[in-house]
Amino acid sequence: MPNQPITVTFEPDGVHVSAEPGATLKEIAAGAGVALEHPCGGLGTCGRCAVVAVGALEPPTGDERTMLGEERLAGDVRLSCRARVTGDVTVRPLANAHGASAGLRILETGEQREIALESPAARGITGGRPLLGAVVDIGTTTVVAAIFDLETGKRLGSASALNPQHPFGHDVMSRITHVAAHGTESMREPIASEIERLIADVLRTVGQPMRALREVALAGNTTMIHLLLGIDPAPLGVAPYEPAFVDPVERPAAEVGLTGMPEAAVYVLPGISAFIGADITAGLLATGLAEQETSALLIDLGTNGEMVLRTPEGLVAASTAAGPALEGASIAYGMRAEAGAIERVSMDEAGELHYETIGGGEARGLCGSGLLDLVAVLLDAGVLDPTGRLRAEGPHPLAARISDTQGTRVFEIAPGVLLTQKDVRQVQLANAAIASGIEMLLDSAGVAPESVAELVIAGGFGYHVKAAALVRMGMIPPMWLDRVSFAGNTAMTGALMALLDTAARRRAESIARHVSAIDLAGHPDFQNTFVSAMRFPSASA
Amino acid sequence: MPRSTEEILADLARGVLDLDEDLAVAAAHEAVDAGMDAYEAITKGLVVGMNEAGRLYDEEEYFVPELLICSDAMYAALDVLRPHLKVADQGVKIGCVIGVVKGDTHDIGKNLVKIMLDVAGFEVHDLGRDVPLADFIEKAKETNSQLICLSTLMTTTMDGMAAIIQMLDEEGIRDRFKVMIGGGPISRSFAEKIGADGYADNASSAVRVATELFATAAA
Repeated sequence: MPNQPITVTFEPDGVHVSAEPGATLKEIAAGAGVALEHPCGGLGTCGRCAVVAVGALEPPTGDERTMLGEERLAGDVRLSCRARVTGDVTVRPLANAHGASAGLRILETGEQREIALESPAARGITGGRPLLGAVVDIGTTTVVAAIFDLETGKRLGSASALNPQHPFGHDVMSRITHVAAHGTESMREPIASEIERLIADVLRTVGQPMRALREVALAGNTTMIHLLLGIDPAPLGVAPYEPAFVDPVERPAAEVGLTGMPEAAVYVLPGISAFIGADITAGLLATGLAEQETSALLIDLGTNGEMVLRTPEGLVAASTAAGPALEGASIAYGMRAEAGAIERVSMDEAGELHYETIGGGEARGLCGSGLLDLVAVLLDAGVLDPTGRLRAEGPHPLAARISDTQGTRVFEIAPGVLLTQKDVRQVQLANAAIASGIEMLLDSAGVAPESVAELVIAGGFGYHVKAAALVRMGMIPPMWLDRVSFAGNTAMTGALMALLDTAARRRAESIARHVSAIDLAGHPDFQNTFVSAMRFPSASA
Repeated sequence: MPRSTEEILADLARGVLDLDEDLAVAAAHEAVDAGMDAYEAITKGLVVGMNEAGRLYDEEEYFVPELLICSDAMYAALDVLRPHLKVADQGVKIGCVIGVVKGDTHDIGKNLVKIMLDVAGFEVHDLGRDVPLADFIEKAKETNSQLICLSTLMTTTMDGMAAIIQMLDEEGIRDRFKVMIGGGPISRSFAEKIGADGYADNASSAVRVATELFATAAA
């Protein structure tokens, strides 16, 4: 007898999907185009795909017991990557989970430096006007595209979207693992289509045809570039992390698999190493750091925590395994910078906590800048000690917000939004990765912190962070407080320079050749430096 | 005036637990001077403190730096006591080979597990990081170890663990070893899928799992 058809309903939209018995909620959702997030790529280790599922399901797996605990399982909470259906099921999102991704806010371009403009005719771009170009930054999380007029440098419009590879894992390693199992095309096609779609969308908005698009400049981390070009990224995923490919590419769009833009030529900026990509080359181009006389440091505050030090002798780069915590991922109530995310936290003289959410509405979670602000405030209040332990016993009024619940210690920021002890540990790891990275990079180059005249923080997330919070956490030395500048998305700015000017391309190539990447994990003091940096500085006098 | 054995043992434990290397080392010298049994000073003093530190780590009271500083204190005091151990006390320990699998160089988690297994009385052979898969098996055979512990932090290298188990199967020596795995992307179901004997999600659960594996084996 054939199986009875099973219906799975996804709330709040009420999407009905028919399914086979034994399928996981993840598989069913993917087949129906329902977006559920799987930061760990479905390994059952992150717990972020948890949903409330009511109906006929197989008993919870061991991973679900480990990740969720009995109490949540009793409340019908299940991991969508593990829970298998046996009959009809209704699925709804957890309260405070990542909701609709509408209103996702990211910084599309950084501060505009003076950008050189080369006449299109002088570099052989002729034909009917307008002559348009696109700049694309392929982030592991977000893809951004902007359209410019090649003759005037004027920006016509832009669009951004989640990287369509995101459901296959939030970090580059899980994407590389996916390719190993499913082939390069499984990752190449979605990103190529998404880039074409974004560009087409912007062109449509500004009323221009695709044939007006003549040039595209692309930046992204080394893995993202490999995936777009259909090059096997496997070597990037294992020590000694040799990239197959960091060369610049200058070819007709169709030859790099972007078939929907017949008149366009593509320029991919050169990368530097497996962990220092074309986005960082673009950042060096955009900030002018490479041409600077004094010592200066560029840090991209993101998952890979890339940093480049300008010294009198040259350019040295390293990446640090900061992880996703700085972007609000792997944090219990962490979320991206979208409506409802707490983005700023402060404390007044009476010890009262204040916060602002994106959009001004009710607090739903914490994004990266809010998380770092909060940690700095809790350190100041003394309810978070230098070892990173939340302390409920002190006299400070905020101590009353700390409690032990479900076997862990938590701090309540807003009704239903908690910071857990584990979250603090994640922040300590990320903080230590960057702080120890800075220390070892300076040490390897023989540069003292006081002689670093400028610290430029890049990255869409970095733009919203306060320098004082970074100092309070010990991520950067206190003497750098007034030397910090936030440059926004320097990958976009650098790619724009390369879009508009051939000389900028040659400069990017020269810069990329002159950066030497060092392996911090191979530094003899790596473990000591990293572990020491996990401690927060004691209260400032 | 000489202090009692209990007081010295308490200081050995407290020196380790309170991250006080000076106290632990001073207590170790005092134990030697007082003619205390070195084996007892270790098992009833230092190990007690380190196990307590492991419990606090489990409860999120301590984090990686605290646990490592505790272990520094323990090893410093151990250096003082070890020369005074009687041969009979060395006993027969269960041998254990541990390392981070080929392709991965992240080893702090592995180092924590190593310390806790050492404290729990395993004879630990640390192969380090980025270890060629066959080396685990070679070393386990060479040292007559019964436990193989594999760690990795990256999804890209976790299949190396399955390969090691397969190599054991192919050599027909799978039943001579217990294989325990752990690390960031590792889950219980992955451990089950590749046929590992045990899975641990942190350093102190590693000791529990390892101890249980051999309790079961002995039963």
